[in-house]
Amino acid sequence: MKPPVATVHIVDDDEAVRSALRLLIRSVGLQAQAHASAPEFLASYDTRNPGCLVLDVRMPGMSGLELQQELNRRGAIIPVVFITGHGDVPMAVTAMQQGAFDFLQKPFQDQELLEKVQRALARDAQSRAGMAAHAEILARLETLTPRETEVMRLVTRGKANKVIGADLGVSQRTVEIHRAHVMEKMRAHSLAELVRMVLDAGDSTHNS
Amino acid sequence: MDKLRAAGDPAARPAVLCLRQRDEMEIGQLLTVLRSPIYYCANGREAVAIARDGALSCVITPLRLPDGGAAKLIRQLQRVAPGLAVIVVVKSPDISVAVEVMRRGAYAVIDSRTLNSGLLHHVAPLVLER
Repeated sequence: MKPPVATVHIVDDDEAVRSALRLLIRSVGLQAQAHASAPEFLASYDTRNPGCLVLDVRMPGMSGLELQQELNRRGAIIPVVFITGHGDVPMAVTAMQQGAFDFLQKPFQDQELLEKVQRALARDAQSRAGMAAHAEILARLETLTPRETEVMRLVTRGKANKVIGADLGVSQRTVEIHRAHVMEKMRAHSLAELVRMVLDAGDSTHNS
Repeated sequence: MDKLRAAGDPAARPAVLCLRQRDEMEIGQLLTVLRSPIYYCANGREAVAIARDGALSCVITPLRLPDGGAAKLIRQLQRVAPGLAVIVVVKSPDISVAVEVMRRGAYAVIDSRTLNSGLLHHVAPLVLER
């Protein structure tokens, strides 16, 4: 199955702005989808699909800032580039505090918006790659037996096989076998790599 | 180095560090009302030294400083006091400046023309939550 293509979503209540932005974004070979309102966007948006959002701040009904809050509530990581013709510093600060990728005041140069969109798409790709890697590590951790998990914790805390054996009441040889299984299942080529994976997995390994 | 001065009740709350600026009197008045001690300093170097030594609720700085800009100060403060909120007061209502400063790690940017409401909105919660 082909991975979904990144889409630049445009949400603006002004039909002329929507059309112009869609045309501009498509002109550089990107996929664009326009929405007339925040609820219309939310109804069709799938958080699993890559892309970014070009969002008008002022709209009737749900505003751009309210849509951003709703996306945050849903755990969406889509980068948001705000555009507004009536912005001020407090509005920009609120948007940035809520995690906006950028905030652009109209009128702007086409190239300026395109650069911000390209950067937003790159950020989205980077975030999704990081999340996929994290999920892969968690999936590998799931394959470990309770004993292997225990051995892995002690190994990554720098304990020697002999010490781990004494701690767990098993022979050093048994620890070596568990350790080899851990390395194989986690697909770690070195202890340093295993430590990085455990750190990346975070609390899910140390608190379980 | 300017002699540090504090106002308010030092036992009440962690201090706010204010870098010397045109609006410092208004900032001082509000913080006195909030019963927050306030320290003043003249430049980024002093601010970093104070932040390293003591618990602060936030730092209020102008955009331009004698020894660099707010962005440089934010970078330095993040090293010595990670997570310390830095609020930047700007004279120009230029949104792109505010966005850039936020991107560099400011907690908030306040337009000096709406200083009081900005302080109440951004600084008061930081002072009162401690």
